[in-house]
Amino acid sequence: MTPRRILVVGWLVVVLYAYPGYMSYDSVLQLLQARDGVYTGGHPPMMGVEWRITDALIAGPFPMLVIQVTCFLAGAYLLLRRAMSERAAALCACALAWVPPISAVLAVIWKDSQMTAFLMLGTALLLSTSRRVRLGGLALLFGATAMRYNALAITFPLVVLLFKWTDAARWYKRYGIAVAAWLAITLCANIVNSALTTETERTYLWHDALALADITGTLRYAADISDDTLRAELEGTPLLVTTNIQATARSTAGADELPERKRMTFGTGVYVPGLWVSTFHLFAESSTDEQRAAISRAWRSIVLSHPSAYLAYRWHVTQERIHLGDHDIPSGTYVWFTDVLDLEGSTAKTGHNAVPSKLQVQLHKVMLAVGTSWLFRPWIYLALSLVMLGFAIHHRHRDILAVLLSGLANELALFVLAPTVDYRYSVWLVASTLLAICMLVGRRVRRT
Amino acid sequence: MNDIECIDAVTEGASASARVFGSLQIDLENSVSGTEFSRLRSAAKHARGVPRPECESGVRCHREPQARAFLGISGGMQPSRWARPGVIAAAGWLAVVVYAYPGVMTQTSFEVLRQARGKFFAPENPPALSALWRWLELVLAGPSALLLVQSAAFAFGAYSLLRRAMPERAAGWVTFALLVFPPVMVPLAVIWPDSMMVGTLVLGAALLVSERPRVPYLGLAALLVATLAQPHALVATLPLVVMLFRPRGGTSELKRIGIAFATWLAITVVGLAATKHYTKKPYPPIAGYVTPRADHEWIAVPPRELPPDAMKLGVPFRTTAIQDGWTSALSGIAEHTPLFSPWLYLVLALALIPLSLRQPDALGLLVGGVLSFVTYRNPNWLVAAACLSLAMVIARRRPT
Repeated sequence: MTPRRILVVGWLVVVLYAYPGYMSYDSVLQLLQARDGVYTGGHPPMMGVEWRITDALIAGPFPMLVIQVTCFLAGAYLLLRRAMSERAAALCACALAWVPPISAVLAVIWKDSQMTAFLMLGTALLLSTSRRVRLGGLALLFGATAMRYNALAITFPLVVLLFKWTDAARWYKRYGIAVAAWLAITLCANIVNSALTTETERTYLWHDALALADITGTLRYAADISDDTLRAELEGTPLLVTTNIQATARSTAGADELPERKRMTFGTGVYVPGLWVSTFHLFAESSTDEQRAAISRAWRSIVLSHPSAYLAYRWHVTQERIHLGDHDIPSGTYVWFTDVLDLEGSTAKTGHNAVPSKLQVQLHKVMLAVGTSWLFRPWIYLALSLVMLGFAIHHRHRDILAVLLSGLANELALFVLAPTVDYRYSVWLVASTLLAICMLVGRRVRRT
Repeated sequence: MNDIECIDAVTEGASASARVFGSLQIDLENSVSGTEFSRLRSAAKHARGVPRPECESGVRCHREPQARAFLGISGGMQPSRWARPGVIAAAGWLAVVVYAYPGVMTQTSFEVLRQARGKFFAPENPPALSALWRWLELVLAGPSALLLVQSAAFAFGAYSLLRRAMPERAAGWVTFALLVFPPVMVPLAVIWPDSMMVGTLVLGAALLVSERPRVPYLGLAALLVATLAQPHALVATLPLVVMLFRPRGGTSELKRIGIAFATWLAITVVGLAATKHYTKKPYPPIAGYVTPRADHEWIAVPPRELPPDAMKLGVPFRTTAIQDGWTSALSGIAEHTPLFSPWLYLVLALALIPLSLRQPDALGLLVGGVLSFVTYRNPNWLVAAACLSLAMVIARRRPT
């Protein structure tokens, strides 16, 4: 079988598992935004524009599924081809796309899936001998950056280590241009997303979620602070309690008092949802610019002056996110065609529904079961990545080093930025680690 | 170094349309056949030196850097992948899919789908199609499975047939034109028994004339599927099998026709028996399927219909603006032009029959199309057959 045929079969297998593409609450919301042309900023407007274009041709999630699976497979193949024969590269690329920790995310129309696919293909194109193709790779990395806020950490090692304008440049020129390129794509992605956001519908995710959680989490582990001090530091914020402020932050208040839809956004786990419950007992969402300014001020004041408390809270979040020490974990797979929390409602709103084929029914069962296994524990890939890093440095494999560093950079960014526990945040870590392992083994086998 | 490896550029001996555009590309397709071109390109890729003898094919070689690069010797410019004949044909297929996705569903389509997911097969629609759909739903649920099968079968079959009559590139473009030609595209977009019949008939015809061993038997299988999808396809499969099927080993023409007729009889009996097997109601199903439907009304551009249980069946109801606009345009064409009039194609087919007496593939299509319309008043196969045959007859009559 030729490599092309192997890739086609691999592509078909993933598409048949995922057809026409699974959609969660986020996906449904993004599709509706794409159709309305109103982007709130809570989700990447660039992805909304992309979906708007594809939805004009074929309604629903299928074109987006095609894009993400095709880009991922093509990128994986091109990268693996650098380390092994074409046939072996095709087989490995298919295996990468099929492996449950990756296919579980590739099958869903998420910004994480789009980002992963663009990263994979963009990285592969960065290594081309043609400058035009390398610029195409940069364009894809720009797309990836526009998909998720933490992608800028991922693209930094990739662009700096792998992008070169010309082969003849001295090292300082080469890295200078690479850093400038990274800055350009990062800034452009942010500018474009900001420009596309509908001003009247803009949401303030950081102010209304992460910043408040950071304050609450830091207060949990900080030394005792009086209510007077806290009232002064939190003045102007949408604070809901004025007494026993730190005690409220430290408590695990009843979740039943919060709206159900809000509780569902807290994700899985025990510690993190508990933290969010405390946060929304402590703070309401901001409604004015003055409140948001006060939140920024309070964040700087509390978080920066209690760094160890902040780090302790973030460590607890990370521990739960990468399932370090967890005995049982919730399934990391999602296998519903519309929002599982509101199947009929999302069907009516999007005009989209599907039923699974017999094959899909069986695969769903398998994937849901596998989703609770060790394969879906990011800490394992983190550890593997660190081990592989040593090999990549020792054998001077720049491309593998860049890929591994990008995965680690992702986790570093998530240490600070991840708001909830969700397996898909770490999919690039998983993909980069498995890719690096394949490439290292491939080169080793080739040498022998 | 053989002559093939020495070819740097094909300019002399080629038709006037072959020219080198600076550093861009060479249009070779009009001057050599697709197979020859592929062979030359493949050999040129492995060339080590470029002497200048006369080539075997009688084409004069000369060292043109762009041409050499184009042929892959110096690794420079390559012919555009996007301009390959297969890609052009595939673009036509994609146009059908974009227009139709996930498949235009009418009440008939929903009845077939309900049958496919239920146990009871009513005789109003060919139950074997529901059985086929049930099998497809093992891997791909919903109408898109049938849409992909019927449209891909047509596209592949049409391209294969046309390639026998004209250069590959022209075949690609004609296939594209055929697929987007409204009276051909519209039925292909609908999840109907007739549409599956049309797609598999074209595919079957193309496979029957293949020179590769065993492939003609796949053609018979395709024609069996056509009979299962629409039992009155038997009048369309008869001329195709009798004229095109050639069993292995040389036989006299009379013997060949006898074997072909027996083969046709076999696939027809199997098809009708399967139809009877899948029908549960005590009703004479064969007669019900193969007699002309007095109340048959051919809707030129069928609208998408949505029963109340469409969403429960997993059939999305949202259409895109492009699809809506396209449907309106097609309805306008149907209303204001004679393009959707079956009589036009009947006249065309009858006019083409005398011209295609020495072209069994075209003749088989035409006779089947005429019989299908005359006996069962089903125009879909007539239209497709007439259009395909027209292209083939014209291409073969062009001076070379």
